[in-house]
Amino acid sequence: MKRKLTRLATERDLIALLGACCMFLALIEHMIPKPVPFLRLGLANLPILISLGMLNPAQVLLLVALKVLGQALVNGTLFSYVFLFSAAGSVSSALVMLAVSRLPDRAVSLVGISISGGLASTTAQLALSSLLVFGKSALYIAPVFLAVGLVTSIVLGIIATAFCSTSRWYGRAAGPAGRWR
Amino acid sequence: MIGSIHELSGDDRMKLRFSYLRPFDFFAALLVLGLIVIAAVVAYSGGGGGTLLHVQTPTGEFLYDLNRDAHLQFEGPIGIMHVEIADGAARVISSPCREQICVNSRPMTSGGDWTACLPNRVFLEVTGKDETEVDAFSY
Repeated sequence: MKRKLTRLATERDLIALLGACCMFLALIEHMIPKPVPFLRLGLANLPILISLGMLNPAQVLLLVALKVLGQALVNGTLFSYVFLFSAAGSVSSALVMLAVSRLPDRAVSLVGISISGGLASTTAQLALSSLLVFGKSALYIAPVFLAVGLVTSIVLGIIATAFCSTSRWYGRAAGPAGRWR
Repeated sequence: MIGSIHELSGDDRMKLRFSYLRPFDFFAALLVLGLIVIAAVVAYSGGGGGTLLHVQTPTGEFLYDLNRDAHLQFEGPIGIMHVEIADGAARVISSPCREQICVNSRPMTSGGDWTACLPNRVFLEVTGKDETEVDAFSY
């Protein structure tokens, strides 16, 4: 039997589902060894990218809050200063991605949005590490950090595009006029 | 309602030719590449940041960026020492000590340069980028 859901309930389900996806991907990411702290793939950003075509800005930010919280629970960093880095990176990245996603489809694709978000996240985390931990030495990790961020954000953008353009689930959740179909 | 996971896969419409890339995508990528180059040049060339003035005083240790001009004051047992950082060099401009060795020593510019005021128990040293690099990665 199919139950008819209101639009609000559907969106709430969607946020919860995407939030759970973030947590799952954070767990996968947690199992991948990292050579240097903060050098991450950012797998958990995939649901955020995908949500841009389905949710409004406030809902995307709510999803980001869920992601940051879920990631902190999975990584066990909730009450450490690493949490600050994660939160600063995620929030700045989401704000920039929301801004860039307002550009028309002929100007930008999910890849460009992903790169912008990655850059914002990296910049915010570098600024924070310069402020809190390394001081000027943060500059030495900047090139590597930025390069890794560029590569992973491009890969995530490509995966998100492939997903959005092929997934029937996304097609229904984003509606007939859904972006990146 | 949200579909099952079996509906997530699709193959016929997969766009593998990257024809979906748009002008802003390239702009963003080039922007990041530019930033990487700039950051690498600044970080790994000698003249850039990373050279720090390390100051040890009876009241604590302090680090200052040698590339940022500043006027600093440090308090020791016999009074206040004034240090100036200008044009990538640090020098003691006044000290309450009798000998004034620290004031007369040459400005400190690169890693390993140091001066000290023993009566006032202030030690100043420039730490090179090699040391800071180790700090950065041994975290």
